[in-house]
Amino acid sequence: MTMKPFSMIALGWPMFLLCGLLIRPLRKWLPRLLWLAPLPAFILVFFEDVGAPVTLLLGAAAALWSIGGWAVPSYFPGGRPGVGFIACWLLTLTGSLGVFLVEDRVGFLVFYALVSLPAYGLVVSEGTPPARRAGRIYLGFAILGENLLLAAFVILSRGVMPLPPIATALLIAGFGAKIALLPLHFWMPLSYTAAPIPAAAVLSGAAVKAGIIGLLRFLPMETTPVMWGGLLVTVGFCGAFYGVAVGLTQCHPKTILAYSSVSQMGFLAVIIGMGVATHDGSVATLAAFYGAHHVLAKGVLFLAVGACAARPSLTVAPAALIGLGLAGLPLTGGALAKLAVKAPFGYGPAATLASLSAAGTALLMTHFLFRLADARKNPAVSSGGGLAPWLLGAVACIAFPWVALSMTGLSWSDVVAPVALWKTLWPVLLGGTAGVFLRRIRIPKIPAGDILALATPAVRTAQGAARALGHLDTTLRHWPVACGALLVIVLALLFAAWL
Amino acid sequence: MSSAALLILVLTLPVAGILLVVVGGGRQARGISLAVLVGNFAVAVGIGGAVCRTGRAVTYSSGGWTAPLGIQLRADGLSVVMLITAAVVALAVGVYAPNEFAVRRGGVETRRSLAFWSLLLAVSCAMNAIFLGNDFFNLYVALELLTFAAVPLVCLTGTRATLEAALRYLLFALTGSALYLLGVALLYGNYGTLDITKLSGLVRYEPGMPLWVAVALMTSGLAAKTALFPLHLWLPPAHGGAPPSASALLSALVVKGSFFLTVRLWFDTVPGQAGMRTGQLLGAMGAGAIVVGGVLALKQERLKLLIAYSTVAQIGYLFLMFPLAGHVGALSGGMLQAAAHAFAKASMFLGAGLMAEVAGSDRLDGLRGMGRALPLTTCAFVLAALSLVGVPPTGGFMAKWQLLSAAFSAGQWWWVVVILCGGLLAGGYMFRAVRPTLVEGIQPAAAIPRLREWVVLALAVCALLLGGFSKKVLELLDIGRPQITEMRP
Repeated sequence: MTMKPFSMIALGWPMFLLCGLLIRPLRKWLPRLLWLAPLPAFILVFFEDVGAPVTLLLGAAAALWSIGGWAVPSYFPGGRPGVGFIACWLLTLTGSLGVFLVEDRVGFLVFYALVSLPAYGLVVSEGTPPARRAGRIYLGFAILGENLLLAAFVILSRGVMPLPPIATALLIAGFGAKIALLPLHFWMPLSYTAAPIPAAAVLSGAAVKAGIIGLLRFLPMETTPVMWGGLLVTVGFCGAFYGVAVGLTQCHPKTILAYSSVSQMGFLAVIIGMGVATHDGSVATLAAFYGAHHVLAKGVLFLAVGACAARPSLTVAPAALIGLGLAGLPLTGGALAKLAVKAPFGYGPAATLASLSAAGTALLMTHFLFRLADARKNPAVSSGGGLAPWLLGAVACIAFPWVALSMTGLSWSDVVAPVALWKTLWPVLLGGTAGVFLRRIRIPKIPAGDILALATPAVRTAQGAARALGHLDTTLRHWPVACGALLVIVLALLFAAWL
Repeated sequence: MSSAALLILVLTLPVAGILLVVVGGGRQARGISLAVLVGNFAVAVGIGGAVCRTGRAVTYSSGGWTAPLGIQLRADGLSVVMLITAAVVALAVGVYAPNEFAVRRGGVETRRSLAFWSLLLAVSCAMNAIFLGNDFFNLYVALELLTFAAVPLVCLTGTRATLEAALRYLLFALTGSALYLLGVALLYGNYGTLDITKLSGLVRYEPGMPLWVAVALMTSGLAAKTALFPLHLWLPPAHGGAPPSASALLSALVVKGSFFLTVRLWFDTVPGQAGMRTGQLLGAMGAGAIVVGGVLALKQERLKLLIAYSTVAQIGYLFLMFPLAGHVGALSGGMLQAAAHAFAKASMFLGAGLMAEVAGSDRLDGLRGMGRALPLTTCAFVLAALSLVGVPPTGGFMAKWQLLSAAFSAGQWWWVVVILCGGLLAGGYMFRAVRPTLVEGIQPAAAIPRLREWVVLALAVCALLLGGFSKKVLELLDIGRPQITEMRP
């Protein structure tokens, strides 16, 4: 594993806190110290040159982990989550920050496993049957992604140039499972709905970006063949619209946010795909800028769900600003992100689709805001915790893109120009109006995890196959069969070797 | 002491231990055995140091007679890695076992205690002899010693079920030995020598029908002893029914003995000679083991049977090195897998033993709350499971990486599919084993000495460290290898 010395401190510090769990008196204080864990990594961003994409994503991720960590105690009785939750939190955090900082491939896989596997503990921490089911599916996907990436990285490290197509396919599938590219998306709504709010916030905001940084690092935009860009654009747009469509049928605010993540990650895949298709390396920074805004926006929107029971007045209005900001509401951070990624889309059909997907986001976010307003009366959805972290997060989310704007090459005057304002305003108006009208229409409900419902026949087939293999095993373990098999093997080996 | 003398010492030390145990009786057995196992470990490390220092294989010819007249012992990189692995596992089992097989002060001596300690030393001795032997007949003797030490370990408790399992094991293992011996006789008749180094020179010039009959017989006999699918009939009842410390020895070490001989036969005696198809056949059996073992492990309700079926599956990975022979990563990947599996599996079986002691049975649904009752063991359990699944940075992961790399460079993508499916299945069955231990639940209070828990954890940490130091291990594996093993078959 290779990394810069300060990165080692940044990643060693949460591990050091983890060791604190072994000391009984410290155990009780640790939940209140979780916000400290990502601070060294956050400080690192400001004075170490790690490249623009990593700076943006790492800075936002570390900030969200800190805000989320601050919110953790208010969601658990007595302010004390279980030891397992804290351990999983710190491990996932280390992995989430580590994927940005580590420099070699095996190290990347180590931290990628760290950001994927321990998150299981966060998903199931409420222990209910739906949470356990969500956890199983999440873990299955995590292991699947890990295996696909393992194969891809083995090919990468053989150093064959140009990269064989199968390696690129494995990379896209592996990272696609992490960022919930269609059709590998259905674990996402299940796990984010099941996870406690602060966990859902950091998973949806920060942890999922491990897949984005993976795509940016291992699918270099300058050299990857154009067709893969086309594939990413197609799959990404499908996800972007599909997430909106299914999200509209959901009631639970957390599930709606999860489908919005499916949609947003699809849009990010489109941006990366555009970069690949045009062989333009500078798009990586723009994608990272968009991604970094999503880290904070999606993370704090989850916190808004938790906080809205306490002070609806301080929750719904800022949430509207951030939520519609995701769609590009002028002068919000989201609008800057949208404007920054305007360039790679050009003026063709892709630009129109991008604007339409922004309208879709506005529609979905309007739906979310109505549901959020309803949720304040429902203690099962909103416990009313974490008001202060939410407000800090909201401020950070709105301020951050303005601070980092210079990294994208845009200037302030570009983004307040009337043309730019209109470009981002009309999709929001369109989507928002549609959302208000949609409130009056009864929409059929689709269970969270949508296409998972179609998997029942596949599960039944798999069970049948397992039963058949069980019979095979029983048969093979009979004496006559085993001795016969031994004889056959002798002869088969002989023929194979001799002929 | 000269490094060649160390080779003798590592064989004689356990034998001396056995004799002392017999003389000293059950009361002293534990002390003597532990001292011998510590010495065994020290000598193994000494041999490793000598091989590393010189960068060449260390050989010893008994009585100054060189082969074919005398018996030669030879320690190359492969031997050293396996010697140290076996020494660590045996020592760990020795430290773990006392409570199970100790004679209480003032209590009555039991047959079990005496039998266990002498068998532990015998297994240790036989493994060393297999790793150092350079002559197929000596290796046969070592293999038989291993079998006859392993079979009684299965039925230490003497219940009907374990006796049946032991008998099953004995009969099938003896069939395997007979096949192996037949092959050895054919080799001797045809070439007049059984020395591996000499044979490898001879078979290159005069391969032929007798050679391939011998290789086929020996390989199938060894596969029967390794419980390679579909010859695994004896493994689940034997490994699932034996006392935990015995299961750990059997699963971690004993099956690796016959596997190691297969490696010696294919990579050192007839490297690059057998056609493509023989390798594919062995690989196909390995693939069958990975899939069937994995699915069956998913279906088990008892922890020890689950672990036993996972052994069936993990043995499959070992045999993937044969179709990939000649490509960089095949041999090293297989050997890394052998070592990583030894550590992880020993840790799992010993951990399962502790859990069964607390819960009263090893049913999976009875393991809830283990995380609180046995935190160290549960931690070890998770680590070992990660290594078996192949999660970075464990030893199991590095082994898979090497095997995958060999599969890609050979252009045999089907093994890649098998390895990835195996990873998913392993993820599934290990999840089934680990999840209940992490769920809240109540376990009866039981006084488990902390030392035993630490042993289990230490083994799991070894599996983890093997991944971290895999570069060093890979360098070590290369020492003393004939160049020919890395050529295309």
